[in-house]
Amino acid sequence: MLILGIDTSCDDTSCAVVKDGRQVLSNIVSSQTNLHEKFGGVVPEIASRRHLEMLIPVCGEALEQAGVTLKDIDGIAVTNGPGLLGSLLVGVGFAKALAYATKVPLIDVHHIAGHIYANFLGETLPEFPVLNLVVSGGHSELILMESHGRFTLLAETRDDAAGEVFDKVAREMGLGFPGGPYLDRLAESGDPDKIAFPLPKIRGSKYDYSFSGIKTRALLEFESADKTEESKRDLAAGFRKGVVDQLLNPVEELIRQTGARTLALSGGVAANALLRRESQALADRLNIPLFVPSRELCTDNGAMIASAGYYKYREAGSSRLESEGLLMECSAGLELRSWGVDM
Amino acid sequence: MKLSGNTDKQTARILAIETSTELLGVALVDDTGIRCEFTAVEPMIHSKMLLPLSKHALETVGWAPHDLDCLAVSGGPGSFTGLRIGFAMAQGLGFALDKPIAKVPTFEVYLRQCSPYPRVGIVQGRARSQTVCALYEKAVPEVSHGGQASGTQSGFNEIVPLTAMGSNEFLDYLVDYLGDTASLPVWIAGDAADQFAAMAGEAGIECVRTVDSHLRLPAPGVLGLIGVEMFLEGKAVSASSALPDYYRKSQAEVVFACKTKKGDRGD
Repeated sequence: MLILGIDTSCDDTSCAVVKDGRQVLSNIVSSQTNLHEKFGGVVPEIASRRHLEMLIPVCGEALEQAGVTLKDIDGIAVTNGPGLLGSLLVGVGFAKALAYATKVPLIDVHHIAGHIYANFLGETLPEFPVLNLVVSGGHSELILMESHGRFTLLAETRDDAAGEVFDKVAREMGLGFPGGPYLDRLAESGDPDKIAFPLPKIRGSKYDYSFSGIKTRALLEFESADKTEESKRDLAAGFRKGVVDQLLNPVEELIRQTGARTLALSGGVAANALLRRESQALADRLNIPLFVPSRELCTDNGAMIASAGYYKYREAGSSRLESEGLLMECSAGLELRSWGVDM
Repeated sequence: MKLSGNTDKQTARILAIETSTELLGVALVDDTGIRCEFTAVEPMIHSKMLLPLSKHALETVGWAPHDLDCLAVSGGPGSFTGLRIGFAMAQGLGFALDKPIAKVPTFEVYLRQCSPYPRVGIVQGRARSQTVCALYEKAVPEVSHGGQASGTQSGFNEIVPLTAMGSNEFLDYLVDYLGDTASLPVWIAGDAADQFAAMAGEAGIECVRTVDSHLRLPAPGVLGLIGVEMFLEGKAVSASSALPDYYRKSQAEVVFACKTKKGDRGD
């Protein structure tokens, strides 16, 4: 079964063709980074305009590279949230028209479910239950997945997302845009113990995250530092360690509690070198496998949406999708709901 | 698209999509006229309802999607998001069905439906500082040629060309234009028509009226009629090159441009 996956949730326009939920036949991503660079962040209106310019070229290329035509596609999966509303609307409008014109089901995919399914694109599939650490510019969440489409949110950030604070601190340090990867590279040669960022105390939940405090702390440290290359490196290293320590802090306890058999990282920050190393060390210690998508499947892409769409189509059935698909709505703050509960 | 030398008449079946204002509308139009038209004036339903409404229209008339020869879409100016909802769907249908898109200038739709009025102003955009405006005057035909006088397509001459400006500024232009003709009415269309007429009234300019309420927002049937003409004239474009005319930059770009200017001075 061939699914065309479309994602326009933020600043990348992406379309992909995936076979049977796991074999990526094509995955085209048109990045808008250069358009937003001078603003120091993604400008929603510019992003939305660009999506409309790029959708047909990107979709055409995805089909061509997969060696198929629209007639061969069995279903169309599209992100309908969460994300930038204006951007989501472009992808969903386009997807509805494609599904209607080609008479195939339209499958709504939650963006986070998409990230989680990036780990299902490959030869070896993760064994359930999977504890997912989803970390990106908009999300920092621990989600237990007991089977396809059954998600339980175990922890989330109370304020900023991990990727967001990496980008913001990097921007203030003048490291480039988006700053997370630059900060990651700089931190590799720094001393993380020069400036320590201890874990925050969060009232209420044992597991939830909070990154705004250490972001402010990092910005203040930078302001008062002498701004030599060495002090920048050390600050980057200390800050990165602070974020990663916090991200992984609840993982061991939650794996024991839930009986998870797999640890899986996903989202843009899953490309972070320290997070990958520390997660691997933790998984090794707990003697469970770690799944991390390849770099291009960590950031937003259509392939992960197509994979999630494939499983949703299989579990939820086509009749519901056919009757409801064309009425699909977008939501900037869409909640992640299980789709496989009744199965 | 050539008509000559071909015994088969060129068909021009068009799905017209209007989403530039809070009016959501679709129409099916061919060279015999408007076959069906559905509209709803309701904010925030466009994304959800546009495709179901189009499907309903096609089923009403008994056309299959591939029976269409062309899509017509309101080309702007208008609500940025609204325009994109229309274009995203038109692009999707155009791409999947391999059909071209007639991008119909939204103000042409207003003018066509306001053709009985001698003087027409269009004010579009809900925020007073971010409107797009234009002023037209019915051309006086020297020789009658079927109502198509010189000037713009719908028989109007352009007095104030379509420009992104605040409605205050447009009012200044209007006052300049009125001169000693302030006793004759100027009819305002557009989604900010009421707001603008009230503003003019407060400023003591009494000749500013709004057009009849059913003509205030662009109608999909009229859009489709212009779309048929454009299609038959070979003015439809490929789906991938059909993009809205926004007429205004994003606010972030405007702010950035101001900052850069100040920064340059500071350096």
